[in-house]
Amino acid sequence: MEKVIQTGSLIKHIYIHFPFCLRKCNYCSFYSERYSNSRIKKYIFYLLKEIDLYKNRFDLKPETIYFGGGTPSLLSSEDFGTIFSSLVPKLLQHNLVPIRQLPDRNIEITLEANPININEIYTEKLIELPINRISLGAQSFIDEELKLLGRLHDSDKIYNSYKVLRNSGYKNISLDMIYGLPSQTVNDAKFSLERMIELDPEHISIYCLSLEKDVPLFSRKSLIPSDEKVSSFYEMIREILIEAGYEQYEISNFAKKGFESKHNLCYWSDKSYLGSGPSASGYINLVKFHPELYPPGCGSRRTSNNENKIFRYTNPADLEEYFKQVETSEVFENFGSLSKYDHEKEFIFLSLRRTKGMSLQEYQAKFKEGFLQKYRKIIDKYLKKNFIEIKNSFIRLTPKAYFVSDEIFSEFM
Amino acid sequence: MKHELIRNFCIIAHIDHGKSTLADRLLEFTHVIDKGAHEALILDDMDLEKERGITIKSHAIRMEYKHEGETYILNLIDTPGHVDFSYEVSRSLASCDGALLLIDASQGIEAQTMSNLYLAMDNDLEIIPVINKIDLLKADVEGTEHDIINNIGITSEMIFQISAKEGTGIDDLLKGIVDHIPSPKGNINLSAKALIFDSYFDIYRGVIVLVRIFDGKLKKGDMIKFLSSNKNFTIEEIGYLGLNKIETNELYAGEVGYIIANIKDVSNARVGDTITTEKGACTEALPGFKEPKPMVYSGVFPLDKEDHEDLRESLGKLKLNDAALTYEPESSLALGFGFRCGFLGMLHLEIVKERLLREYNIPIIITTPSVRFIINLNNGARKIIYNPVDMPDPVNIDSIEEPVMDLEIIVPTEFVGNIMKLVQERRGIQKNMQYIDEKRLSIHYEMPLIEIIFDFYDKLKSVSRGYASLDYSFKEYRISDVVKVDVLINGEKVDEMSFICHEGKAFQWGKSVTEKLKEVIPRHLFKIALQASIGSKIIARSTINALRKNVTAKCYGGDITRKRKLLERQKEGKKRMKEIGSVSIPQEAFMEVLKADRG
Ligand SMILES: Nc1nc2c(ncn2[C@@H]2O[C@H](COP(=O)(O)OP(=O)(O)OP(=O)(O)O)[C@@H](O)[C@H]2O)c(=O)[nH]1
Ligand code: SF4
Ligand SMILES: [Mg+2]
Repeated sequence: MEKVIQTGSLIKHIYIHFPFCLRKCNYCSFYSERYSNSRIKKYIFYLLKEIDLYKNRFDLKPETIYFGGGTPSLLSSEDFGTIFSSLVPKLLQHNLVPIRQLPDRNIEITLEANPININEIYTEKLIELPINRISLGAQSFIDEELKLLGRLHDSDKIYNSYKVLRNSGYKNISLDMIYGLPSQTVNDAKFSLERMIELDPEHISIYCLSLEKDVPLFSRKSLIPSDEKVSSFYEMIREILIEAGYEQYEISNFAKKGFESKHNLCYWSDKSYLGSGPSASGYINLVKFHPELYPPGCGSRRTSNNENKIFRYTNPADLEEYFKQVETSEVFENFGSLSKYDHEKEFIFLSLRRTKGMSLQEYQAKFKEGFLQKYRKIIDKYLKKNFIEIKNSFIRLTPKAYFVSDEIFSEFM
Repeated sequence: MKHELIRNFCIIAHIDHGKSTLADRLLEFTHVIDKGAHEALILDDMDLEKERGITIKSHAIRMEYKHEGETYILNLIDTPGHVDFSYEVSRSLASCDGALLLIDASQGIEAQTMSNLYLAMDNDLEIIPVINKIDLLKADVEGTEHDIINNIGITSEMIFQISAKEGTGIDDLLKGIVDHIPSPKGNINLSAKALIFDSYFDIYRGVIVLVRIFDGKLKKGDMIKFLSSNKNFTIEEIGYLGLNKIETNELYAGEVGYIIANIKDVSNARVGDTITTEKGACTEALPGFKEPKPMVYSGVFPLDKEDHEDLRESLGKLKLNDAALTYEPESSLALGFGFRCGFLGMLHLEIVKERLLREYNIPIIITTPSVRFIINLNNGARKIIYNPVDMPDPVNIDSIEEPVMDLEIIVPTEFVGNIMKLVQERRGIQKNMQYIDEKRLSIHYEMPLIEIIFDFYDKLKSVSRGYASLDYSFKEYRISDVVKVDVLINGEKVDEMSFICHEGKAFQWGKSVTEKLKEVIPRHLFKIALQASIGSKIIARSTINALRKNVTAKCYGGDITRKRKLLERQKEGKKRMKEIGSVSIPQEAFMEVLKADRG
């Protein structure tokens, strides 16, 4: 497979999946393995190799990079250094170093950090890297809840890590919180939220707990508060966050002005992104179709010339399989082309996750038909019930629709 | 064939007493089938019969039995035991001279034991009581024998003891059949007279008519006449009913067999009709039997509107082999075009539903069943309604008559109190009560059919720990205070869920129906009010709260395809529902309403 994807394939967003954790949390169904130094070395070797594969085929000009996991804060600064030097051209790297002090610069590099890993020794070296945004997995400020979740840190450790990060100069910190835990009361949720707000992070993500069948916490599923209650937790959290000066920009995401995650926004805005590492997903929406860019095995090559070509892929959620695929360039076999029809559906439900909603003009330009005409019946129904609204040629959910958004999205499928 | 060597008999019993198992053993002992060559009961050949372990249709088959140097021809008919299909039993009896009355030694005499016995006696059949399942540990052979002597009035020498399962006593029973069941009477020299006791449609051969010849003979090439339809046909093929059809040249008085005569329409060869030959025709028809009358009526709608024509065709095909099924077009706002179908009972309804799905691949929605009511209008007119929707305005109604059944319940004395309570709740009136033996009673009641069709049988079983058995048959129409109850979903009347019930039950039934709907209708983005009403008066209500949570909390770059598919599946689920007003109602809701507790 030689240079099947070439020029014109500019990609500005990169996600890197680090599939190791110290210990699996009780609610987590992400792909991760138990931490092992030798495995990590091998992983980095193949990660770089994978990135090289992409570099040969795409034009990588990262504007956002996101280290997610797993627990990427288990990576040493040397490891990060190696990855950066492969990922970002020297010149740009040089520009990036002082960036933690300039969070509004164009390029946003996020590290998902577990409070357990953050201390002065770690940050001392971390600050030499171009990482300028930290997403700290707090989850809760109640120790019993943290224990239930199987987190390795207590609430004191969160305060402590947060202070260390601030003292080290990070100006863009995000905190995560999980609500709707087994037996949780509204006051429990409120308590954690208020502690979080006191810390004054730039960004806050709030996630309603959802449990897959195969996680240990699933056995407590029946103790999860009723839908009514969880929905009222969500309402409460929204109100308090907005009161505290955060703007909601997506169903689960809030930020102070200018601190929305540019990386996360790319997922909901039909932007191309690469995913590297096992279980990572990528999305490639080539602006113009170039027949020579079309990977083989992805359907007909005889599509008309002016049609966009769109692919999604997901790497295997298994390290050995991943190594093998990178070795043999088989990663490209994971590329599946997305039909116009499916692209449209995804565009709708992803755009509508943003509070600003979906641009009707953008929809028209992409799909060559009017959204309002096409879905008039559904739209009328929800306009009437005040679950959606149309303003300045954007269509969007009203806040009361957020927590039942899937119900509405499904109508457009 | 000398008719002294022929024996025509059927096996009758209460449900599950082992009729089909015995039929299998008889077929084995007479070498029609190899011993142990098959697992399932050979005569229960429909998938549904095999799966549920019940016989739905009667099944005739011929055996040869060598005894004391003679070869006897035994024509056996295995009959269903369930009360819904007692019609099948009665038409089988008409073509037989004797009946094996099977009694499960672990259960003793049960309700259909008695009703089938009476049917056989009405037909003047020689009855051979057979105690079955003697191999069971809990078999009470002596007690059962005692009950037979006392209740059936047969001496103990006449009673056989067998295990159909293990093959014990089958040899003796075969001898007994030859010795005790009379050979068919009938005069071979008279003009032909044959009774159609069954007919079914075969897509290659047309209608296949099963007959018992009473007088004369029929042969290939004969021009035959059907007395009631007055239609003529020429016999193309005639033969015996072996495991497969065995073609022969002619059938004589006393024999049982089949006829194929290029008949396209089953209605030309109606069960119960008499066949004769064109020349020298006999003019006097055999008594035949009453048409089976549907007892329960429901709307049957295709789940997918597109299937409407297919549904019509399939009902037509089912009807070819199921004379009791009736259907006529019906349409509904919510469910589109469908049919109002008549069934013998709830099991029959269930079976038709299953067959439509399995054999014709048409998923259907069945609406709340009802019975036939007679409405006496103020102006003196009488109106029969099969569908609650057709109920006239109450101001024009003088009175309403509902069907009442004769009920027999056989139950151990310890449960009599429970049974009486249950029956009373269901508006039953006790007629008489007699002891079957020291431990068991047979109680006769009169009870409105509408009280039986819903969950009476299940309740009966549960209050008697499974020991009570039930049989019923139509008695008469009686004036009654019944009312129509409507069901409203968000203020909109759902005609398909309306039902007619006794005034005194309206509150309770209305309540349980709205509660049931609450369980089966998924939450919507808005509150849904569920109400039951009589006219404009609301008698029961419940509420489905608004959907409060349906969200994917974490949605980033990974697994978008999976998320899309989940949403698509939600959409698919909705598509399969029926929209009434702005409420999506799952198809099960219509069926679930029938399962609502009727207390
Ligand atoms: N132990 C024992 N079980 C038997 C015997 N005969 C029948 N059974 C069992 O009783 C059950 C009912 O048998 P069937 O032959 O289907 O009964 P049936 O009278 O034809 O039932 P319907 O046609 O539904 O009325 C089956 O599970 C048989 O295996 C027997 O002699 N001994
Ligand atoms: S640290 Fe994160 S990725 Fe690892 S197990 Fe816990 S929740 Fe899952
Ligand atoms: Mg049977």
